[in-house]
Amino acid sequence: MISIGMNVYRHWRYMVSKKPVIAPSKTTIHWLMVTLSIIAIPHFFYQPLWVAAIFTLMMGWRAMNSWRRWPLPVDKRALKVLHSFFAVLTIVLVFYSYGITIGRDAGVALLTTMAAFKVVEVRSLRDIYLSCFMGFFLVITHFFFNQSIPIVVLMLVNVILLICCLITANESDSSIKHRLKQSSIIVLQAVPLMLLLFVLFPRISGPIWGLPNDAMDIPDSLPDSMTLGEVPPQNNAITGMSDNITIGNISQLIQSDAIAFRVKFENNQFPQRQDLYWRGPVLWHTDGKRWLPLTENQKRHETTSKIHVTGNALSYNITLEPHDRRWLFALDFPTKYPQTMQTRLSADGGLNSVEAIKQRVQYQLSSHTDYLFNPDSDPNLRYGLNLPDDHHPRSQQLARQLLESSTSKTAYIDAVLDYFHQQNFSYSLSPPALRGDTIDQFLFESRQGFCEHYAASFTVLMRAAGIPARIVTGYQGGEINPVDQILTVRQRDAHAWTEVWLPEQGWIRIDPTAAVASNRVDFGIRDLLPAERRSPAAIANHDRLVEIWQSAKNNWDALNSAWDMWVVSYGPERQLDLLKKLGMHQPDWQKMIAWLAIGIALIFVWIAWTTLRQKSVSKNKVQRVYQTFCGKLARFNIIKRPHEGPEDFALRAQHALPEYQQQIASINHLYLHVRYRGDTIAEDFFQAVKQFDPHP
Amino acid sequence: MLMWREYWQRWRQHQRYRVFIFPSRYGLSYSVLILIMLLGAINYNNSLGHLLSFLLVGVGHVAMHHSYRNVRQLDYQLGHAEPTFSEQKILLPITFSNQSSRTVRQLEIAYLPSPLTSSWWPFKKFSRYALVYKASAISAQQSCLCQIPLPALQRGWQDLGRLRLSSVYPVGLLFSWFFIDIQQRVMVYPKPIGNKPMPFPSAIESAGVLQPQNGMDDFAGFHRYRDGDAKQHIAWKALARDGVLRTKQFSSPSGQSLLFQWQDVAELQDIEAKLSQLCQWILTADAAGLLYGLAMPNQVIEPDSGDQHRHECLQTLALYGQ
Repeated sequence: MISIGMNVYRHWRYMVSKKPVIAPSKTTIHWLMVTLSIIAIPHFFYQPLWVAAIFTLMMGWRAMNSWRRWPLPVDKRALKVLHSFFAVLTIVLVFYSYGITIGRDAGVALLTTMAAFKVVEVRSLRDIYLSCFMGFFLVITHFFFNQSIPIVVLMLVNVILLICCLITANESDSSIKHRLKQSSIIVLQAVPLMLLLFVLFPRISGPIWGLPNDAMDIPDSLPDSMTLGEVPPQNNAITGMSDNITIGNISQLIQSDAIAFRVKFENNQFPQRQDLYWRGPVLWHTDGKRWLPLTENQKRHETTSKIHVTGNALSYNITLEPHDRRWLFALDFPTKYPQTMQTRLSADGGLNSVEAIKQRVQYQLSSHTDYLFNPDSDPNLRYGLNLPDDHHPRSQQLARQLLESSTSKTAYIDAVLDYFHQQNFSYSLSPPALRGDTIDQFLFESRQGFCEHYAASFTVLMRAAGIPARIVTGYQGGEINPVDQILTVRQRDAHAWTEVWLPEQGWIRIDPTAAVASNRVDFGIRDLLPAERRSPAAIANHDRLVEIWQSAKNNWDALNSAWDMWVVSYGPERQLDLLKKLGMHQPDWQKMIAWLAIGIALIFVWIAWTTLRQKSVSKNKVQRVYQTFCGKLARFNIIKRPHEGPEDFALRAQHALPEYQQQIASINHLYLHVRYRGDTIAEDFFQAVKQFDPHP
Repeated sequence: MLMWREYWQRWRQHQRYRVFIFPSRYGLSYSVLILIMLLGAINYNNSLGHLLSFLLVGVGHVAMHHSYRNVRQLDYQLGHAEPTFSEQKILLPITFSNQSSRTVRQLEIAYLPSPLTSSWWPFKKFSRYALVYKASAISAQQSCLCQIPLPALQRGWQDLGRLRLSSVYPVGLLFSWFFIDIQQRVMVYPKPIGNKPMPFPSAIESAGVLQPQNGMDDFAGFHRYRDGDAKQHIAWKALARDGVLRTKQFSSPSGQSLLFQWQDVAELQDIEAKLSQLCQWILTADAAGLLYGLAMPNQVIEPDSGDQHRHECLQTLALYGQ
C-alpha cells in the first residue's frame, strides 16, 4: 500500500512539476522591442550618446537573433561574458558621466540601458513582464524632463503599446489589429477612472524623502548679482540669474524663450506697456566688477519702509515657474502681498518667499505703478553711495565734469541720460567682451551693450556724483496672448535698470537703456530680436503666413498655459481650489475619499455594464444589409413590391433564379431569424449576403 | 420593466457557477509597481506622474472586468468518462458553449484529482492544480467538445474531483476561474503489463487441442477500437477508407476457452504485478476473440467473451482487495 502511495505521489509530483518554461513567441519579442524603443527614444535627447549606443547595440543583438538566428547570451558562455561585460561597462560609464551619486539623470540612463540588456536575455513569460514593467517606469521618467501635452499623448500611446505587449504575451496567435484594438479599448476605458482619481485623490505635497540635486529642471532664471566684463560661460545648461549677475548672464537669458512667469490681471486691466517693470532682486554692493545684493541683515528693515501711493491698485495673479531661489516677482511696486504663501518685503523693495521656489507657485498681488518709496529717509542710503577705491578713474572724471555743468541733481541725471543718448552708444545683444576696468572700458571704448551695461555704468556715474543709486533686476514687458488675456513673461524679457534716491522723491526708477534704445521699453524685447526668433525662417518673409502662424501660436500658448495651471501644477492647493469651484463645501480628505468611493462605484458599474452587455447588432444594420440583398436581386428585375413580405419575395426570387434557389432560401431563412427571432448570429447573415453574387 | 426582468433572468441563468477573480503573480507585482510610481510622483510633486499611476490603476480595473467576462460567458455540459487503465488518461468529455457575442479566449483547465490533506496555507491546494487542457479560443455562439485528459491513478473507483477552469486573458494580471465539480466516479483498471506467457487453454475436450494462435485465424468481424486492443489487429485498410479505427475480431473454435487463475501468477510477489499480468492476459485474449474466464481467490467468472464480460473481468481485478 505504501508503494502505491509512493507511486501515486511520484506520478503526482511529475504532473505538478511539469510546468515547462514556455519561451515567448517571436511576435511578443518583436512587439516588446518596438515598444521599448519608442519609449526610450525621447531620452536619447537628454542623455549622453553612449546610452543610445548601448541601447541600439542590445536591441540590434536581439533583432539579429530573430532575423538571422544569432546566438544569445544564454546559448554560449562567451556571449554571457560579453553581455555582462557590457553591463559593467554601462555602470562604469554612468559613474564616469554622472559621478558617484545616482541622481535623476543617472537613474534614467541606468534604467534605459538595463531595459535593453533585459530584452537580450528574455526567455520566459516572467522576463516579458519584467521588461514591460521597466517600460512603464521609463514612461514615467519622461515627465522629469517634459510635462507638455504632446508627451502625455505619447504616454497614452506607450501605455497602449505596453498593454498590447502583455496581451501578445498571453495570446500571440490573434491578429495585430485585434490585439491593438483590445489594448486600446482597455486603455481608453481606463481613462474615466484616471480622471476621477486625478481630480479627487487627496494630494500630498512632497517631497516625502530627499530629492536628488538634479531633480528639477530649471532651465533659466535671473541671477541675483552681477559681474561686469566676464565672458559668459558657454554651453551651460542651467544658466540664468544666479548669485551674481555677470554681464553674460542676462545676455544668455535673452537667448531663452522659456517662461519665467504668467500674469492674469483682474478684469483684464493691463497697465501701460512702459510701466511693465517686474521687480526682482536689488543689487547694491560692488567691487568694481561684481554686483551683489544686501546681506540678509541689511535687508531687514521692514518697519522703516514707507510707501505712498496714488492712483488705482492693479490686482493680478502670478504663476511663477520654479527657479530654486526665494525671490518673487511683482509689478513695480507691490502694495498688497500674497495670502497663500509666507512672504517678506525686504528693505529695498524685493518680495521674497520664506522658502525656495521649487515648484510652480501661484500668488495674488496688488501693485501701484504710481508710488513714492521712502521719500524721507532710507536706512541703507550709505550703501547706495559706495564705490570701490581706485576704480573707474575716467568715469569719476566724467561724473565730475557733468556735475559741474549741472545746476541740480535732477539736471545731472538728465545730463547723464543725454550723454548716453548723444554719444554713439548702441544697444547690442552681442557686445564685445570687456577687460580691465569694465565700466571705463564700456563708457569710453566699446560703447555697445545692453541693459546690464547701461544700468551698471549709470549707477557708477550716479554714485560718483553723490546720488544714492542701486541696480534693480527683473523683467520688463511680456506678451499678452489675445486668446486668454494672459501676459506671459519669458526669460528673454530679463532686464536691469537703476533706481536713484532723491530727497522727498524717494527711490525713482531710471532706465538708462531706454535712453539708448527706447524700443526696448516701448515695444519689448521682441522687436529687437532677429526675425527668425519671432517666426520660423521659412515663412518669415510672408506676412500672411506669419500672421496665421502667430494666431496658431497664441492658441497653442493659451492651451499650454491652461494645461500648466490646471494639470501640471495640480497640487494640494489647486485641488482644494478646484473642488471649491465645483461646489464642494470646505473640501477635506474625508470628503474627497467619500466622493471618490461614489465615483469608483459608478465607474465600476459602468464598465461592468459595457463589458457584460451583449453586443446587439442594431436592427438598422440588418435592414440595410437586407436592402443590399434586394438590390442584388433588383439587377435581375426581381423587385420587392411594397405589399410583399420577405417570405413571398424570396419564393418569387427562387422561381426566377432557379440556380440560386438554395442561396436565396438560406439568406431569407437567416434574415427572418435575425430580424424576428434574434436567435441567430447577425454576422452569418451579413456574410451570406456578402457572398451572394448572382450572375445571369 | 420587462427589460430589467429579462436581465435579471439572464443573470440568474448565468449563476450556475460562481466566478472568482484574483490578481495573478504578475498582477501583484503590477500593483507594487503602481505604488512605487505613485510614491515617486508624490515625492517629486510630479502631477503627470500621478496621471500615469492613475491610468495604470484604471487599466488594472478594466482588465479585471475583461478577465471576468472572458470566463463568465461560458456554459458547460459534462459527459461521462469511460473506464480507463491505471496511469493512462481518463478522457472526460465536456461541451463548452459560448453563449455570448464575443470570443472566449485562452482557457486553461486544471485538475486536482483528490482532495489532499488540508494545510494552514489557504492557497496550498490551489497551487496543486495541474494544467490538463488548453483551449485557445471558442468563438461567439459556438460550442466545442473537449476531451479533458485526466490522470488515472490507482486501480479501483476513482472519484473525479474538481476541474478548475481559468483564464488570465487579456493581460495576464488577473486570474479568474470557476470550479466544475465533476461528481462522477470512474473505474480504473489495473495497468496492463507483464511478460509471462499466456496459460494454455484448458482443454475441455482432450482431443483436438488447438493453439490459441490457430483460433485467431477465423475472422469474425470488426468492432470499434478500444484501449488495449492489439495493434496488429487494427484494420488499417478500413481506417484509410473511412477514418474509423476498428479492430478485427477473430473467433476461436467453440469449446476452446481460457481460464486465468490466481495460481497462474503465483510466481509474482507483488499483488499489483499479479493483477497487471492478469489484466494483460485478459486484453490479449479479448483481442484474439477467445473465450476466457477469471478465477480469483474470492470470485470466479465463467469463460465468456464480449465487451460486457471484459469489463466485468477487469473490474473484478480493479476492485480486488478493496
